[in-house]
Amino acid sequence: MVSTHMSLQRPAAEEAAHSRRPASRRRWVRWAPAVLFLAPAVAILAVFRVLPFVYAGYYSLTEWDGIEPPTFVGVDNYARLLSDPVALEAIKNTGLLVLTLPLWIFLPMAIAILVHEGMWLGRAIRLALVIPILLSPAIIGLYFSLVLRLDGPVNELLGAIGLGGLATEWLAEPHTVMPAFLTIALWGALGLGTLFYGAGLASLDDELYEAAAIDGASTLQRVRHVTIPHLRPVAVFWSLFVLISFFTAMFPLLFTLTSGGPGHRSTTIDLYIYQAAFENFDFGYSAALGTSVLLLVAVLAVIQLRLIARGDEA
Amino acid sequence: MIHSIAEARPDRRRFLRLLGGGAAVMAAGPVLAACGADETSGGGGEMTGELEVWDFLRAAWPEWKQVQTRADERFQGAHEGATVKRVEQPSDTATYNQLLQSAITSRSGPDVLLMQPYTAGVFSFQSGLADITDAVDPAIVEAVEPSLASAQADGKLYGLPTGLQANVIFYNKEIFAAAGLDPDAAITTYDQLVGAGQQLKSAGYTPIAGGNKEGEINGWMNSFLFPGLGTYEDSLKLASGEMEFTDDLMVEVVERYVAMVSQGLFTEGMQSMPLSDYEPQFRNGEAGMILSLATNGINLSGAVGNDNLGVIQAPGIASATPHYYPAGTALVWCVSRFSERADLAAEFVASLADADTSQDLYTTVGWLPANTTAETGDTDYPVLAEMADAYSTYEIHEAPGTQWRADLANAYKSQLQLVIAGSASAVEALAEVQRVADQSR
Repeated sequence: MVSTHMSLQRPAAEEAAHSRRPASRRRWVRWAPAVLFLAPAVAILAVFRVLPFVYAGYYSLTEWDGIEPPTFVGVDNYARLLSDPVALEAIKNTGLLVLTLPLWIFLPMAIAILVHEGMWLGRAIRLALVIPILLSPAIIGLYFSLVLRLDGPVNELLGAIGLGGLATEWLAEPHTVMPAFLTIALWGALGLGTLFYGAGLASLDDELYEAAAIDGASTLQRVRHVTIPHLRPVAVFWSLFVLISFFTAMFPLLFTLTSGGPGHRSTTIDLYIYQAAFENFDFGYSAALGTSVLLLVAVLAVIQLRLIARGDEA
Repeated sequence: MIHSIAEARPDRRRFLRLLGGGAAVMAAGPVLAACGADETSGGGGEMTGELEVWDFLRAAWPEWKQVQTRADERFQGAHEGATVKRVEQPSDTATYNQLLQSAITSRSGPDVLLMQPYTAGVFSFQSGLADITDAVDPAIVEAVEPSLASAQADGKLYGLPTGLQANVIFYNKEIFAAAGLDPDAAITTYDQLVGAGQQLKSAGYTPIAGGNKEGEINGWMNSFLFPGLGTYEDSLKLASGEMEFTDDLMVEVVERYVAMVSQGLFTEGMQSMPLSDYEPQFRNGEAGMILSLATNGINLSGAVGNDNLGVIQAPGIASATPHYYPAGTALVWCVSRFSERADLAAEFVASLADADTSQDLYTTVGWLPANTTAETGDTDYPVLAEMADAYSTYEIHEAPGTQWRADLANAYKSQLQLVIAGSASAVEALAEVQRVADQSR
């Protein structure tokens, strides 16, 4: 016991030496393990995340076919973006998705609350909600491209209930393709959103509900004043996640569902980035589109966070 | 744990430090990029060793594999110390192009590549391909001369064609007879084609099977209908920009096609049906005709019977001046610029385009030869013989549209989707294609 105590005591001579070490060296000794442990992860992130961004920024200022050394063209690609009707249509379509953000935030929240409150949804329906999470978006796209064909089950069902006049090529008609895509994308994301909100609700202290019950709160009041405020951090995270997905993660679903057609009526900006690079072999322009999206998402995310912060302050 | 947005916000000094770091990395970008873009490329290289060959048909087409294996054995027998290693690649063009892009950008990958002709492949990757003009036997080049446009640019030869490809309409003779049509009467004009389609429709058949989700049929119909209206010179003028896409000729081509669609002469629901899904309609006897590729003739013969399959060539070509057949090159064998055995690879490519391999492709796969010295007489498939006979009477084998840049071809396909959906007129759609053409130049 005594010896242990003695070993924990810094000998006086060592203490004196320690105090003579420069402050910077002391800091380094303290931080070295953390730096060494983090270094591999940071290196991987730098190579596979940061460098591609840097390269994209550079190539966006060039004309490049992906093979020959790129030719510097300044901001020409960015100027072209502003007058390219396809890029503008892709931005418009992505903007339409952004406008539906409240639906993406509140629908899974409502389902999660209903499940939590035990008001609705048996196990089978809960399972049905989770299934899309397990499916690749490409598979979802292929599946719905069959379901929504003219001879597919949706139109057959419409015919069976006497609404055959509404049957159409949902994914080939300019006025139905975006609503159809939006519905499918939302269906695909609903389970994940519900899961996030469900996890948030699982951490809700039952005592809060008991206190509300003692105060005579109705179910609706309990949801409004206890459950929803508790879910606010999850909603902030989920909304940012969805917003970024609108700009970066629609590609696999759209590629198999519509390929951006008819015309470019369902082309989103991430699909157009792919098309510019790998179908039109215009890598410089594709990089300019990608860099612009990065900046746009950053700006939108900051605006969104500010709005939320203002709401917090209010 | 962060409890509020304010806590998550980095302080100003830290933010500026991050910004400075980012700027430094940005500045280093061009230097790093320049390091990656060195000009290393293969030269003539060794005449022995292993040739790596990328082949995207090998996995999906057993007969193709048989022909290529025989060609490899012939080559290896004639070149001591040389071996051929075939690498099966995905047949999906988009995926294959991405693999090609990665290989060529990294200055690595195969010695020999199977590529799509024209801008769909060769011309989009031409800076990564070797000029094989001086490395191949001039006799082989002369033999495939009518189809060389698919692989030749700026006086350089980037590959050799394997065979010919054309958009044709195959038809089921029994269904024609059941609909009251003479199955042996040749359809040579647009009006005859539309008339036959209407008669099939009246008899309860789908006139022409087609799946157009990807817009491919739009491009195919341009190749099929253009020669009856425009000349070969018109086709070249359109490609070079001397003729605008909004020219009356192109408007007429589009309007003829759209008229066929709106009269219900194609598969109902064609616009949302993938190209790969429409063939069963023809195979199971629901459709009387199918818009297809010439190389598909043997497959369809097997489905409906050798003597029961007829072929309709592009209407109007018999009267077109000069005579040109709207056939493109099927595929092209190319040599990578970064091959360490470029000369050996070029000799291998020449062996894949020679008369022996072309002849073998014709009899085994039904591939119409680009090599004019290959024999095309004996075949079990009457429809193949008929097409071969037709091609042999034309000196120029060049389908309209094959010379278009990839972005133009894509714009054409997607804009016509809007015309078919009724969201744009032919003139509006072609004006948009013209805008892309102007931008390309």
